[in-house]
Amino acid sequence: MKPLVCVLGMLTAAAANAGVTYGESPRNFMLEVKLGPYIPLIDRSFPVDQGPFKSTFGGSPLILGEVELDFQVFQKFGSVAIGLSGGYTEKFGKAQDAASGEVSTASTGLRLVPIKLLAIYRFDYYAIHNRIPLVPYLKAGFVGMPWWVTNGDAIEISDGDRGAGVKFGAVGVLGLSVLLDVLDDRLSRDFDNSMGVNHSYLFAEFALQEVNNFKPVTTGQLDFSSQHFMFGLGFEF
Amino acid sequence: MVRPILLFAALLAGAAFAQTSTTTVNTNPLIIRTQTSDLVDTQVFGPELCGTSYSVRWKYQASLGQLCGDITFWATDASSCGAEQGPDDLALGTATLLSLSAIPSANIPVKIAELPGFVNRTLSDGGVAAAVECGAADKYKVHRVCASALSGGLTGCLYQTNQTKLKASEFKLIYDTQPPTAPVVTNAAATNGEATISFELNSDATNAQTVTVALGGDGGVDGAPITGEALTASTGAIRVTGLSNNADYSIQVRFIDGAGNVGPLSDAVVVTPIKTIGFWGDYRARGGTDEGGCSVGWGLMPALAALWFMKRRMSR
Repeated sequence: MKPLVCVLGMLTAAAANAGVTYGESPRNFMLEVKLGPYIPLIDRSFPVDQGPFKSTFGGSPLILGEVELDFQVFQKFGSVAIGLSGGYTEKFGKAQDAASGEVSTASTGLRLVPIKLLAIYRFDYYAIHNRIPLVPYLKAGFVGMPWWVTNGDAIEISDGDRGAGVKFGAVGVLGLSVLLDVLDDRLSRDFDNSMGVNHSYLFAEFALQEVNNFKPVTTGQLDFSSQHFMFGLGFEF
Repeated sequence: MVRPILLFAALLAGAAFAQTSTTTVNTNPLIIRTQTSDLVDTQVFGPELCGTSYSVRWKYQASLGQLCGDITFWATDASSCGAEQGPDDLALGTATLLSLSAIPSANIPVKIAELPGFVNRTLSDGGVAAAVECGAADKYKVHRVCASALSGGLTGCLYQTNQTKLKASEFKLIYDTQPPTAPVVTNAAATNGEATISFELNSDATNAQTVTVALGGDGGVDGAPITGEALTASTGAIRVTGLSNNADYSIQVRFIDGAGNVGPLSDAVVVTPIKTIGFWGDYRARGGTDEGGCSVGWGLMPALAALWFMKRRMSR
């Protein structure tokens, strides 16, 4: 706890030293680049220890990478934006020998492309006007998630059904950004003057996704819901 | 706001240019290439061209450098093009300096049978060149189509003392009736209905247009060649699909080079594709009910309603 308090104290002190405001360029967009561990909750609709995800891929998470672009529509008290994000993640494991059930040398893979349409509220009033460098935010929206499964190099087919499709669902995100401008105010102004980037943020967020075609969880579903953290950098311009 | 977008677009454009420019950038103002492409600088041929003329195309780009004299063209069987035509080379004509502004590019017919390496001749040093017979089997002979002209370099053509001979970017005519050597198979792995064969590349293989696979054993038609899908020709791997599971296949690989010469088969390797179950099959086997596809039904309605609402709000 003490280190966190120290860091916040330093940031606040730096913010106080940041001093005079200056004529910054208009800001309309936020671009976020982020990474995080992601485990789809496929196995929750199967009996304990009998889930196909853990059986094939083990317990380690996928690494999800996402890029998000938000367009700000309101900036009076905090900012409200609509955003679109796209991501990609994949996981590989070993396929089974159909005759013996033993692990074979062939690989099988799960690939996911989460696409999100989001409404975003950032409480950045004090960050912009008082240089307090913490910006909590909320996001809510819809998810479309194309997915496909490979066996070897081809999309796997089982009982005539292709292992590929699109899942839909909803997502809610709670996050906290740290305004990096206060660490070097002159550099941030140069960044704005030369490239039009008003503010830079480091952030962490928690995402709660229900990607199950808006249906209640029942046995045997291919459920790409998740509860995961993401970490990244944001640029407001 | 506009600047970062412009910067982003410039970065994208730069990246796109960088990707295409790796093969198109040519800093030599004088190049010799095929009639159809500025990128192709080599033609490999067999006996079928021996009695014919093959036309190459030269091109002068003044923006890359200024020429101060006529362009001389010739063909040689030397290991490289010199700055000037040698006494043992075949003259292919000239293009005058005055004509270059009007005709900066033209074809040059090369009579294949008259190329220096195909003609018995006494060399300028008194020696006798042993000609390769055009049409003979198991031969490999490289000729170069060359050109040069006086160039003024950075100072232009004003001062004759600064002018030097500029060599054109040459074109290679390679007579090749030598079949490639047999590939050495380094690994053979079979999975669900397919096999991946890895093999060593040799100097012939880098010219290979196709790699064929001969299948035998109880799973295939004995010795009948099929052409597999080359995964990575440069690293030597080929993927053979459409195999039956649980059958033994004897697999041999051979190269066919750019001139159509068919090499011998490699040693046989035996593989047995097996049916495998991936994540999707395992999911279904454990009672998974999803059938794939995009069967969202009414579940998508909330998202569509939100989109409709946003569109209405923004159009006001």
